[in-house]
Amino acid sequence: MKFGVMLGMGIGDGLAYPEYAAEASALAEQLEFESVWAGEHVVHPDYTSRYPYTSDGKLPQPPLTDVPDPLVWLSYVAGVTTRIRLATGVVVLPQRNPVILAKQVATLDVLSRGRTLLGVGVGWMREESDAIGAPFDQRAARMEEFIAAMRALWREDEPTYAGEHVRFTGARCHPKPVHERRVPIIVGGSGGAAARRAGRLGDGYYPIAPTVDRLAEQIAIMGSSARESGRDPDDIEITTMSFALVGEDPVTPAVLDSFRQMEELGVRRIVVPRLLDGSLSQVRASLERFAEQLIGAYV
Amino acid sequence: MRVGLALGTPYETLEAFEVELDIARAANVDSVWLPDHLWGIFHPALWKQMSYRDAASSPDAYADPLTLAGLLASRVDIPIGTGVVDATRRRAPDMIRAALTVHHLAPGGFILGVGSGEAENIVPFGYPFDKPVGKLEEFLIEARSLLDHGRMPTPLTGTMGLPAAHDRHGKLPIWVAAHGPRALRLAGTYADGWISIFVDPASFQQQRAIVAEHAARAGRPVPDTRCTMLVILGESRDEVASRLEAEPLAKLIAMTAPAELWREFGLEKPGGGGAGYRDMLVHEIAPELLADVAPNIPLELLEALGVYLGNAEEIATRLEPYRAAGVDQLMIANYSGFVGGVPRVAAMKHQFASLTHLLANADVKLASGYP
Repeated sequence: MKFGVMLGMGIGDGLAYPEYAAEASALAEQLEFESVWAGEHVVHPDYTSRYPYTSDGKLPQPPLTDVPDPLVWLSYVAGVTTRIRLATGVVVLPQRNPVILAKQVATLDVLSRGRTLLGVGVGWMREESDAIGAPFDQRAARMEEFIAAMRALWREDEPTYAGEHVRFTGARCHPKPVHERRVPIIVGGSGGAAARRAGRLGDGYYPIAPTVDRLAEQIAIMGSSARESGRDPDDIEITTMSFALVGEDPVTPAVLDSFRQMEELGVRRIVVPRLLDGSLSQVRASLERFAEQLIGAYV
Repeated sequence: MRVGLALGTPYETLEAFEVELDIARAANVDSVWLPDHLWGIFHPALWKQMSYRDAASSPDAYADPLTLAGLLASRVDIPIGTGVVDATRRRAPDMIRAALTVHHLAPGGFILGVGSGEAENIVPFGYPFDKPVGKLEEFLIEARSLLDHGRMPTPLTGTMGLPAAHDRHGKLPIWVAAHGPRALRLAGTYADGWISIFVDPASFQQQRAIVAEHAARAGRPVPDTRCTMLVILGESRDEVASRLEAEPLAKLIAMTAPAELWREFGLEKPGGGGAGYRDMLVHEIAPELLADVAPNIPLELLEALGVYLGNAEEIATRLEPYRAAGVDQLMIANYSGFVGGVPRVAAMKHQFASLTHLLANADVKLASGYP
């Protein structure tokens, strides 16, 4: 099992400041976390859309919480680390321009010497899409086209792609990603549609579920979809985030047991959720505790 | 005059960027500026014959400027800017969010330079390029609303994920690259700074008056101003000339000049490109045609365009008229590697430092505290 840590999104001030970004990510690397993660919101509007990962349907962070651009923030982290992988969890892909994003991701990959993981999702907040002028209703179709377009831009010398939402012919795009002109695309989401999409298109799958049983259901859907698409589900690396790791002293024998169950389901990476609930010294203490109790338990 | 270093060429490795940063440190420049190109100025089929191929596998391998700026924030403590990103492909919230991220991470803060775009960034990738200046104004209206009021203009919603002002660097500044009258109006009306490129001293003064007039109409302060220059440094102009004769493909920098300037030197510009770089798609021109015309491009055409050749003293002398015209900030792109590759860039470190020193003069205080 690999352990990542969400450092690029949290609750509280300071997230976007170099003191936090440099020290927290360097310490995560030193403590042998495998990856550092960053999420995104472009703007934070008043909203009635339902956030899928809390019981009240609201984001856990207040509106004025710092939310940096994940690619830019991870690029800074690339400059102060050498080994730890750099992951978005997730970029709201339908809100992005796929040509620009392909260039951004390839740039991060080159500058970090091939450490990039691109987590993507369709998004859930209509008000955010409306505020920034991105169509919300066709977000799933847009995302699938954008994934194909970005892969073409990375892979081909003279990329050509013809879709409904993006099209180009002979559009050269450099630099290319470091490893075989690919960056792993991890399809995130909590429902059946995301699971099926990951099975069809993903290099990785990133579901978040409230229980191990619900996680098993989603992984089964992903597996079926992969097989129907002629793919081996074992080739699709499964990551999940565990909200059981929020709170005081959360690593209990029951939590560790649930992680072993997840491992049997095929989960290969668990992301520790936000740590920035307080001061940098608290983040430091949390990282050290998780490293000892989680990574230590698997050594 | 204060000098900023523009990283104006494609680089594909961190090591190559470090060569430029080493020059920035040696020259004590006041800022670092990053371009935004999806397609570069040289044809890919000719790139493998050019010495600068050691910097990047493709002439198009420019780093995404906002992502690169994130990494440079861990390397430099002077302001980082874009010079410039186009405002056509990304809505303001997305761009401002990325810019604010750098503004918070970088010890020297960030300057968001924007422009109406170039065909190379837009047309091959399927995006419309019919109303670029109109798009730029839409962008600036949204950007000003986000930075000045914290919300999108219509409807008033969507707080940014980061404060518009940093506790040490203040509010994120927006600079506009402008040349024509409509873009100059936008620079005066909306911008904190104006970026000028390929302009002679007299035209600079005329354009600055237009920018100032529109700033006054908008009730805004006159924007700061920075002129962009390109240099190919050497032991002397003659030495650079002999290198360009030995490597004539480098003279295709002249493809960024308007067709009219080519005609002044008795040449027809391949592929048209009446507006210079803005409407040029060099990749769609036959490489054989470009290779044929390159040896015939006179150095005087490059110099008339604004590419300065020679040693530090020669170039500083020829830039003096800009000082007299009131230019007090320069953004200099070091094109020395186009005749000799990355080692040539490194070898010209002291020439660049001397040039910066000569331009700075005694009465201009440079940024201090740079490592």
